[in-house]
Amino acid sequence: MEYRIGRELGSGALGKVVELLDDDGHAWAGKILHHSQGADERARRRFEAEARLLTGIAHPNLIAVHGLVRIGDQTALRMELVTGSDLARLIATDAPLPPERVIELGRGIAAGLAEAHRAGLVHRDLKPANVLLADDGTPKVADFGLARATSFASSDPDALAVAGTPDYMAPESTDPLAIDARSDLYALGCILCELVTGAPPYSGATAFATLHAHRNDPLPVLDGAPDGLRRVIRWLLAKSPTDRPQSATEVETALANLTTSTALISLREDTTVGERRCAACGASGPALVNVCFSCGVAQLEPTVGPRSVFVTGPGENAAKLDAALRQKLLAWISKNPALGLDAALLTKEVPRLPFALVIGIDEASATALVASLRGLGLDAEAIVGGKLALSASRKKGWTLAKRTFTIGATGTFFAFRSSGTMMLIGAAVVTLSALWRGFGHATRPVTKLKKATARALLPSALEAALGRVANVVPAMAAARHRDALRGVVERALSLRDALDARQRAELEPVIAELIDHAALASSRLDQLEAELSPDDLRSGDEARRESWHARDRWAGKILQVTAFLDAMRARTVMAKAKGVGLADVDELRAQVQALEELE
Amino acid sequence: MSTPNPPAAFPGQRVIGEPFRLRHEIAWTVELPDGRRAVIAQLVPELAAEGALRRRWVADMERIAALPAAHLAPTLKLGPEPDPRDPAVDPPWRVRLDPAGTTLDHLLKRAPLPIDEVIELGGKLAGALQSFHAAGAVLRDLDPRSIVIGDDGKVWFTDVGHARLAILSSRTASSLLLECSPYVAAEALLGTVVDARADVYSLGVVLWRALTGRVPFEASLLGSRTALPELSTVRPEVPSTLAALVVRCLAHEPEQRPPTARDVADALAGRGTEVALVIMRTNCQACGALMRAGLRLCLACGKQAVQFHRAAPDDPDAVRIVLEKAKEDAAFVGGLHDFYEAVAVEVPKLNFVVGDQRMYSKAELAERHKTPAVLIANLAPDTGQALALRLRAGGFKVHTRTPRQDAATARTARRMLLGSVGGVVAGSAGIAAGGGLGVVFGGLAVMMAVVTLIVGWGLQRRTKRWAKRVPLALLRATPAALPAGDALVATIASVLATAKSPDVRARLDELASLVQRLCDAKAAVASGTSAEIADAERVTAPVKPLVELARTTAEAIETIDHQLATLDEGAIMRALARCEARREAPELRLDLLAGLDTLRNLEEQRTSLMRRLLELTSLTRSAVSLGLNLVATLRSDDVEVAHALAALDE
Repeated sequence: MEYRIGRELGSGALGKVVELLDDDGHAWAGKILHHSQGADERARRRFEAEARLLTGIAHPNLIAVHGLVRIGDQTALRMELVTGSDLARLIATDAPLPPERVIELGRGIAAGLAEAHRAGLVHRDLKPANVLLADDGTPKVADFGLARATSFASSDPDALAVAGTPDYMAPESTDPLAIDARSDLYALGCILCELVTGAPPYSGATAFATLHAHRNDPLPVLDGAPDGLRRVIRWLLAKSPTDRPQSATEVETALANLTTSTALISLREDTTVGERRCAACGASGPALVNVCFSCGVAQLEPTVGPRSVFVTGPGENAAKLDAALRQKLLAWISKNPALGLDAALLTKEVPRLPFALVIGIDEASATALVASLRGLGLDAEAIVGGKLALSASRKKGWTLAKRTFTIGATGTFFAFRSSGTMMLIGAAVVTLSALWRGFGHATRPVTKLKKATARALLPSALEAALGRVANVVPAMAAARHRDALRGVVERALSLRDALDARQRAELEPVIAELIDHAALASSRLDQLEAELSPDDLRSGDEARRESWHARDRWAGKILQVTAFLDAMRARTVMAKAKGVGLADVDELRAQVQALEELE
Repeated sequence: MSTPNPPAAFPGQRVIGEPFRLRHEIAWTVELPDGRRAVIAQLVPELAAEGALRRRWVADMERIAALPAAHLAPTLKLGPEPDPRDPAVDPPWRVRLDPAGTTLDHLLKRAPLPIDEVIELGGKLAGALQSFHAAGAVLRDLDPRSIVIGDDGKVWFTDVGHARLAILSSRTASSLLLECSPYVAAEALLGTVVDARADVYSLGVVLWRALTGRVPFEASLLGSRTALPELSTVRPEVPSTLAALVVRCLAHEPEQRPPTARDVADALAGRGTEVALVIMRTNCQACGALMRAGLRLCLACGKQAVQFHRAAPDDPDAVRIVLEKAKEDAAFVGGLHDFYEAVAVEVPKLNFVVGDQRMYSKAELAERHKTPAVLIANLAPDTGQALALRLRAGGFKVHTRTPRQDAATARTARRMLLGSVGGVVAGSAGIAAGGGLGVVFGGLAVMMAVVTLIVGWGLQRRTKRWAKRVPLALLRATPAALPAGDALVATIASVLATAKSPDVRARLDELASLVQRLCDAKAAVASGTSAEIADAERVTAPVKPLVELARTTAEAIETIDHQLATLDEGAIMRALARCEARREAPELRLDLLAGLDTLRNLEEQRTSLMRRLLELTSLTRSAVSLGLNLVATLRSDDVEVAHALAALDE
């Protein structure tokens, strides 16, 4: 079929949109790359690749794409023609919009995103200008994935160059590997925020200042939005993709529930599995796993065990510890509340070396504690046994006993030198008190394990799975994979919390298995990705693309499990409210199998 | 894909090769009819379609064309005529001369370069930057690809002045590309208002790359721009002074960088003095704010930061503070630590002997402080009382002592010893005289004398011990107080009252420390000969106008900051979009566009004023140090001449 170019409809960063007329008089929209973009061979190839992927996906909330057509010496992407306005224009003229309209638009966009995400497409540049409005006001998302066609030809090879619109860019978008469907959801959150307030959530003097704000500034307050909508927007705007809704369908449901207003809304922010803050970086994570997902540092949580940790230096045996070092040690203990150490004695006195820091703890935390103490500039060792197990400690006991005896004996001699009996009694008392002083008083451990830190153990399968998670996490290089794993673990644990006793018994082994597989899958994914270099992303090489697709499949599976757990928990909560039992072991098992396939 | 044709800028121009992309422009290399090579660069049509961007491009390019900078590749023509801003005509273009030579990028590709070559290159670049800055502009996004080292060795900036357009374009739908260049300073990535020190940072990156072959911070967001590897581990043969200079250029805070490109050029040429210094910080003793070490006037609270003074040498009323009893709990040690940190030269080890001495080994006793311990000594009387009060409020048991009190005690002890000798003599005489009464009174006298002897002896021993006791720490040195009546001090103080922006305050901080040096020098010669006083005055003379100029500049910057605070580029762009969407009156649009221009002009003005302030402080520094050195030399010359004359006389 022959097409002719009609009037120009608009112009964006990549190309202009024109009216395409065919011989039958039908009108289409055609996207033609700007010369500045098309001149870059690689950019043009990416454009054509994206165009092929888009072709054939049909949904009322998506602009239909019908492939590439040649018109003279130009290539145009033939698309459905929408005669209405776009969201950017609507915001410019009418924002802030009433909440009902915002929810309606949000639902439409989410539905469109859901369909495209199902096909494995990520928009990468969702913004109001890319949401067209049909005559009846239906939002239609355009330009899926086309941001990938941006030409980087003019940018410095040493520079970090990303394509996107700063007002709507998710915190993770500077890392091209981290962008996935949830980045689009973040952009949707920004759009909803703009619809509600009239301005995007963050702004800065420069593009990078805006991006910086996306990454670091607190969430917008959103005065004026009704409570439910506000919660959905804040959920979408979570800094970590793991804390956002995991799929557009989930957002659509949440928004739909807002309109019916009778349905129960179960948002993830309502769930609280016990949390802890990392001693090293301060990030929060599930308390049941002894590792920080954000920085990968193992979390010390001493439990009762056979080991004792001694500080042996620097300094002579029986000499007092340097006061400045004591202050440093105290500061470190108070900065690490997760340790559960009560340092009352250390606060009161400067102990003599060597001294027991804490006695009777497990081996792993003793080893970790020794490493930390060495980092503080203290000599330390961990041994099996009580407060007198260290020979140097016994030596100190003798020294101190001798000193105490000398002091006491001199006093007694002068006091009782007239009576032999009294002198004998006095000598006995002095000896005993010297021994107590040397071996009792001076060997007390300077900190005590607080009782409250001991936690109830979970069933052994679950404990073992969590232990494995704690083992894999430190070895994972990319923070976002650790974060994704946190998402699975947190959700699995919160699903377990939501179950009643009977279901729990049935589901727990499967949940443990799921956590196990997720840990394996994420660490494999991390390895796979470490082998690929980000430069491959911009290349048009087919083999490389295939590796990327493999990686995408893995990431997608983990994401799918996360989303599934969310949905399952929501259903469980709702079922509970309605008084219906719900146990879907098979469904859960299917997720485990999906992960197994990958391995 | 159809290739666009270059605008016909000059009749008879001949296009060489294919068009290429320059950030926001499409460019062609052409040969002009007179044989010179030039580059025609045209704003890409999609950006030109945005009114605000087109306007900004034309304004910035006009400004670049008008800059009287010797190192800027001259702009030959801007088009299309008559008005390139007119949205109805073709996208605007410029023609600039293409200097023959290689780009800096090309040169850096064969880095690491030999040290001498790096120094030469750095010197040239710094000089070129300085001349560019002197014309009143900053590059802001130095890019090695747009710097050409001419065949004759001259440095040319070719396609500069696009940074601000890049920021504005990210606010429109017509650009999707965000670039975080490793050459751009953090403040330039995050803010629109920058000064010449951003270019000093970029220069640092170029030098680093020239020395090591890589950029110091890999492509990533700012988070990882923290720890710089030790240059000596990457390339051991780099002289430490050069390494220090490069590291200082790369400081995250502009305040820690060399203030001007000229300072870098001077340092590379071996003329610099203080370039490798990192600015030391300390706390104000009045309000606790962080301030430049050695400065007496706190710029945060405007008070004399040093409230505590040392006593004059051999002052009989110099106070020392004595701690009567030590404890070892954390609060005690912590409190004492804070006290020392606030006022002392350094925090001493706070290991005291607590409890019975016999519980400590000999080695420990030799190391630890026994109580009573002298916490701090040589304090001026009122300082001594104030600090003792502060310590008592913190729960420490202290008392104060002075040498005068010591002397009085010593005197008493001496008298008692003498008296006791007298008593013994008298008593013995009484006993010898015999008689019951004589024996009784004589014996009494001897007993009293013995008691007095013991007490007196004890006192004497104690005073001797006091004299030997070493204080744990000394008060931070305080030079003579700033004369409040000094005209220069008054000038700086008056600006401080109004100056709000941190970078201006930091500059005043530097000025204040320079003026302080001057005051110190004057105070030192106050008792000298009239010739010396005249010398000191001569040094002060050129500084006065500099400080006065700095004052007016700082005030002007404050005014601009005030105006800038009311203008928000993002909001203006949104208003512009609203205006277009609602098809509002074109006058409104023009108002908004004019607002954007105003914003840009204010930024430019601030940049140029800030540069002036930086130059002024830099100049003041050289004036002060040069002047003071000169006086010192003159004086030593005088002494030498006097010695020579004396020798001749003999």
